[in-house]
Amino acid sequence: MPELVFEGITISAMAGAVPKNKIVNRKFTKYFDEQSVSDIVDKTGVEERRISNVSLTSSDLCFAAAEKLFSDNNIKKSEIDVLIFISQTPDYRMPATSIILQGRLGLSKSTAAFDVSLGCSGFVYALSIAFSYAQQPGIRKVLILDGETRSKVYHPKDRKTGFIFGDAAIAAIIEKDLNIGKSIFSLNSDGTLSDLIKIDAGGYRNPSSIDSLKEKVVDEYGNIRTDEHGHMNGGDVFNFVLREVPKNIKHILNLYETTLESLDYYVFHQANKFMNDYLAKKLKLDKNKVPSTISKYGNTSSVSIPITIVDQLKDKLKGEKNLFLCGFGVGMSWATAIVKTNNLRISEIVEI
Amino acid sequence: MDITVEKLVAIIKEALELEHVELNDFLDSYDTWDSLGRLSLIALIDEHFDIQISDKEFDQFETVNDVFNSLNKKNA
Repeated sequence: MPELVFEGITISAMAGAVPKNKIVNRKFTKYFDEQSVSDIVDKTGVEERRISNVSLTSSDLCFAAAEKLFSDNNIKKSEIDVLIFISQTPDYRMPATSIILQGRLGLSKSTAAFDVSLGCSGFVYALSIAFSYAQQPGIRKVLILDGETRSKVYHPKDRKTGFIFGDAAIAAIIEKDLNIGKSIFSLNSDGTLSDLIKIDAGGYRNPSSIDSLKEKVVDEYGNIRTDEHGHMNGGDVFNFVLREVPKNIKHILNLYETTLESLDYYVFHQANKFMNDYLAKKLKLDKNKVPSTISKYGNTSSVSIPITIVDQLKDKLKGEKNLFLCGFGVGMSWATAIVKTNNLRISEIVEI
Repeated sequence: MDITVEKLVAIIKEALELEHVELNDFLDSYDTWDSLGRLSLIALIDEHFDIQISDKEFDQFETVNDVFNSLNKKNA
């Protein structure tokens, strides 16, 4: 679609939450030997991940992040006019989790609440939606709640995915700031590649059945999962990223009439260390401007960009900053943005 | 950039952490020829030749020579 450009809108405050429960990957040798695990960790760079227990959901993490955000910034709940929940691990198939969160947080009944089902590109997409609403004269604050329990999507006996994914959530307020300059978004999709990252069963195309819940060996390496667990073709995902992401970045820089060097931080989706390092090298980025949380939180899908901002840029966003954001993954779906912030307030991450 | 046997052999050695690589080697004979090894090879081929090879294509390659021929075809 054509690019979206906004002026006078920004992210004013952010907070994050992660599960207390931590897995140290190199010690997670229940299903694979130490050497195999160590090879995987060396390549992916995921040393630790936060894992929700069975009863902890994305919305619980979002709720904790939202409460922290409200109390740290003295935000009146009555000022939230829109609530956008981004996740592919919602509480139920229906109703939408955003509406449950509206009730649980005690927001006004006049709040517009809806879910957005996107993965690694989701936060950038949600920001573009939030910016659009926030432009309206009648809208005061838009609340983004972005939460994932991605660890529950993949099977621990599938080494291609079992060591990468973690759980986290963030809450962010988007509102008007008349002094702030231009932000720009580029949003993209390629559904012909929908098989690259997928859960085959459990939706309405292939409903849950006794068969869909059976563990089976899925490849020549002996990896095991069910049809209701996610699978990923790492090689072709990497090819996709190499083909589309640098091209999209060049495109948005041209539109914004700027260069990578003149931006303050480049926050990429935290896919894995190997891919992110290669992308940074290919784009010749200054490493000091590429924050990373892949080693401590792993890949948290749509949450990886904002949790990296909350965790790594907490005291670095005083004054006006230009943040470059880039998410890419399941869909395939990819989105790039240059977002202006001014004294973006960031809370300490809550552990629950 | 010219795609030479020497260059490809050097890349495969680096990607798959091997000491010796011959044109007639079967890729399956390398212990490190798994999904992680493929990622390294994809990155190095992109970096040196600006060419991408899909997983399906990799599945069809038996020997190093098959990779070499495919790269040259794509580069033509």
